[in-house]
Amino acid sequence: MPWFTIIIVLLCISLIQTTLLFYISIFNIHPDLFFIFLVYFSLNFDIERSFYGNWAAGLAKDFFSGNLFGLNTIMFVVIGYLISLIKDEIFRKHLFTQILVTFIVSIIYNFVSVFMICFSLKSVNLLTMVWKCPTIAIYNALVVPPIFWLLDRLYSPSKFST
Amino acid sequence: MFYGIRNLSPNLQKIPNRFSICLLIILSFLLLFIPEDLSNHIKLTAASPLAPVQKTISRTGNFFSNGVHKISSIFRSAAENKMLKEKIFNLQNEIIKQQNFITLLNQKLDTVSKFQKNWNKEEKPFIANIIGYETSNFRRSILIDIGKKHGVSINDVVVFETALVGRISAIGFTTSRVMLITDPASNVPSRFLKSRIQGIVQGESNARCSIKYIPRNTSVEEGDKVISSGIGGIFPQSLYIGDVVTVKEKSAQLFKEVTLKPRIDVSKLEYVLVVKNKISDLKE
Repeated sequence: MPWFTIIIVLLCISLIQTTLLFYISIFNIHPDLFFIFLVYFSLNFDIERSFYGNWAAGLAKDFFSGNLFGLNTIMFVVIGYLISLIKDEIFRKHLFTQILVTFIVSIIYNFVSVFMICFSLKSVNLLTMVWKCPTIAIYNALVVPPIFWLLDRLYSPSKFST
Repeated sequence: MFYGIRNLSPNLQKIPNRFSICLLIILSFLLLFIPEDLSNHIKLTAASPLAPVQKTISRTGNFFSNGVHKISSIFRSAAENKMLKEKIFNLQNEIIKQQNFITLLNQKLDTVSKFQKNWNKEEKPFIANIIGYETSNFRRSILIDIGKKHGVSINDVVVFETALVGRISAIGFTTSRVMLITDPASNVPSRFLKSRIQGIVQGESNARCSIKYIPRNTSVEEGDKVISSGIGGIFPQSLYIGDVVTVKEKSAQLFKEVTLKPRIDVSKLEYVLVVKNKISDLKE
């Protein structure tokens, strides 16, 4: 029941992200489990399967965010597609590659998010938020090994029919 | 039906997938154009089935978090104890001095509170549990377990004791989203307690706020207290917002750069009070 598992995992991620992660925040920054799920899914599954998974993850993030509705859904689909394009060119099973991809893509995603927020909220000072992007990316990259390990236990790409 | 599709040629098999992908992409773009009120309603309605689970997890998290705080405080308490004893001795002397003054003030306060009781007879604050936090690192909001059903409306003010926490930004049937004063979209008309200079407290999406439009020629010092000014009608006046942490002056700027540390640290709160806003009542 792969799709059932995906939905359950997304529900668990939503619950953990909105409750417990707040307690492990450093400088008011917490890791983004939705985003790590996106990287995992895009690296490990075919383009079509990852599209649906990333779309669902983006939508789940939108439901629990005060940001513009639909913004994460679109960004997750686009970023997932970009990762899917390069995944065959890199050694995606290696932990270092996974961490590096998460770090780089996380920086890009957060920069775009900051620009979108600054665009929609006129009063926001860009400089006060931009410094957070690398910090979030580092934090996301640091939690990649345990999260990827956990997701590996749950999913096996061979379970999915392509 | 799907069995039939599998027997078709690979190109034809792709059609339903391509169609659903296109549909989802179009749907994603359409989501961006949904009016804010409706999108907030959709978000909170979709998230509301998880609210009881969130509440339980939050309570458990709070329980463990408080436990960790208590354990760490034991180690700090010995040195703190000595310092506090000295403080208590000095404060006791100060208390005796102030007692006479307090007796006089009490008489005045009694009169004011009687007036307040009559004036605010029906307005009682709602107590709301915090059940969830923001998923984005760039915004600051919390989810509370009361909504339209309990009589809460948008722009109602959220406080803890007499300190400002934020305001209701989105409302669902049983849950609401509170935009914290540290959110970049939050603007609170405010003034300094001592100097009475006015400014706007804006969030910076971290643990600090900044207070804007403070002229260069005014005197602002570290430790100055900032309260809400009541201008604009959304936030009542005299709610404690925070203390000044840094004051910077740049030669080319008209205004000072003042940073505040909010009085309330939301990570340590389990519940908040929601106070009805007069403007939201009028709109209704």
